[in-house]
Amino acid sequence: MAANEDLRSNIVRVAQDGDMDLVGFASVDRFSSVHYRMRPEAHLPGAKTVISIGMRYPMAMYERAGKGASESYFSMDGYENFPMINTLMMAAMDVTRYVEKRGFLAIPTQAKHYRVHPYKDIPDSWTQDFPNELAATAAGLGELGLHGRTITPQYGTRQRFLAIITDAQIAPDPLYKGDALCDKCMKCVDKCWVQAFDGSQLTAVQVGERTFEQAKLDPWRCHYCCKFMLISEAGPATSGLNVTIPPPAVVTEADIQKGLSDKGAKGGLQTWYTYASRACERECIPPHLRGVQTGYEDTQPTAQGAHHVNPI
Amino acid sequence: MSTQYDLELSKQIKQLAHDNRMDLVGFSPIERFAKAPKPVRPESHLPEAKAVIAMCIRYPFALFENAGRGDADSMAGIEVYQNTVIGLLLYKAAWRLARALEDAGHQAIPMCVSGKWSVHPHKGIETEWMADFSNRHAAVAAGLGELGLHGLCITPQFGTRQRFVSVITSAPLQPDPMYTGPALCDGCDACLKRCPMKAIDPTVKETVDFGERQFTYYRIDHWRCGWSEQADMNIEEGPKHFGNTAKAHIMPPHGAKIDDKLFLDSLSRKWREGGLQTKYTHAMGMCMRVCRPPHLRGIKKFAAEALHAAPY
Repeated sequence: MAANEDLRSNIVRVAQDGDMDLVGFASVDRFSSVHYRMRPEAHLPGAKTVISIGMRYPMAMYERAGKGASESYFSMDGYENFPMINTLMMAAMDVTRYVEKRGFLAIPTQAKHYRVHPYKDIPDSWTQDFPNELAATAAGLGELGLHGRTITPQYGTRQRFLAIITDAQIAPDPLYKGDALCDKCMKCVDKCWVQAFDGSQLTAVQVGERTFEQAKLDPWRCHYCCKFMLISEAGPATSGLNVTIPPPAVVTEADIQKGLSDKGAKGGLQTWYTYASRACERECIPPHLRGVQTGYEDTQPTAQGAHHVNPI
Repeated sequence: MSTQYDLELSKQIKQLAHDNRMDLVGFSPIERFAKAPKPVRPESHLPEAKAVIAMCIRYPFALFENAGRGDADSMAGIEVYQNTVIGLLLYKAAWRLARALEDAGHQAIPMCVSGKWSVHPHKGIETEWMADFSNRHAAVAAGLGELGLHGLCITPQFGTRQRFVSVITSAPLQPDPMYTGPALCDGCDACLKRCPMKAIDPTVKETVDFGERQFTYYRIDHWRCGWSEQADMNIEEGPKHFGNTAKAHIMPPHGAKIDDKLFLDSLSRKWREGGLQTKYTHAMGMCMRVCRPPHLRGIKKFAAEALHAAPY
């Protein structure tokens, strides 16, 4: 155990040297509620530990994005999609290489790729191969909110996570047991640009000895807005792209493909330079951070007109 | 003999490469490239060139070994870490070495990581899909390993599980001896037998000379290789693990000579018929994957002594 204590402290140092703000350790048994194809041991047979790493957004960059006279999301887009994600992956790679150097196996996780449709015995659409957000909660860094994101006491939802799966046995951190970080204010559900959540359908998610509730999410609606940026009010309008393709009641792949085609035809070159914010994440302010962090509408209530984009 | 070389600078440059996560680094005098086609010789890039620095970073063992396997059945991690992180680390290391050499009063050009080609015969070279400089050949010239029948560089430490980059410099760096150990390619032909594109032609062999050594490898049809490796149109080599279906599986007509039109029309058809999933995909070169030099067959992790150079 003494040797692995040293391993643990050195992993923390390597991650911090890689600009990580949060590091935690989870035992793999805390992933029992996850589909078996997305568990740590599905990636690495013999996996014993998941190391969760997180990097915060610069406070003012996040807070001011899309607000004020600049009305700009350019920095959010630029830094979120290039240095932040690359720094996270570089840190995951460094931790992986260090763990290998100590004689163990390790696999860094990713957050880019999706299986768009149900895959083999995975029934859901738009799944990733590992639950990085749940891993952060499993590693004691915070707790899962209704929106399925990990809320941390330090930064709320304003960080991004990756993880490293290893066969090294490392003492896990205790799960977060402080004051509730999600008080079910329902803002994530209510403020979603495209009503992707159904707040009346809550699912219990077990992580170790703790149970969290998550609102049912329609990933097609979520990606219609956040990934494919078909709702101008969610962000594209601030770069001058005033093209919204209202989503139908049930979003399908064909709707997204047609929406993208229509957006391109109407929006022209501006469709290359655009960004969409995630209202669920942005409007989520844990109780103790209210007044420190603010949501979008707290300072810009009606500039973009009606908040919700209703189905046609 | 050694007075013609800057031994202290040679030592510093190797240390800097290791500090930048390069697992292997070696130096080659430009004379070892004397029989290479003129446009891709070091002095064609830098007339004052005296040496070529070759270096590589290994893939994490478990990331490579478990890609597309186990219950996770995922190649998302290998795609992201190969195409983003490993590439960035190679560029960063080459960039830093080039700057250090400039600071020391020499000229240096960091070369491009593999991924950009002159698709058609160019500057008198008949080879299609030709890079402006061959990092794998430079690795062999610098003594890091030897060319296998598939034309890839095999190192004694990692087999084919690394990626290379080079720096061409006017600095008089002390050459490393070429590899003279036990054969790393024993002609098992696994690469030939397992290529799903039949891109390896065993009836035609290429011969290349580097310094005192000569290597022979099979001719590669780079159009067929790129069909899968670059365009992900053979789902069996990886895209199926993301959920890409038969709609995204397009093979060239039997016996057809692939050209730009067939390639691009097929790619367009893949995007059109394969849907949004084609955005999330990767192909993992089978030749690289199945190649195991004799002494590495059956290993469960890289040897400890192979991991000690870089800090992480």
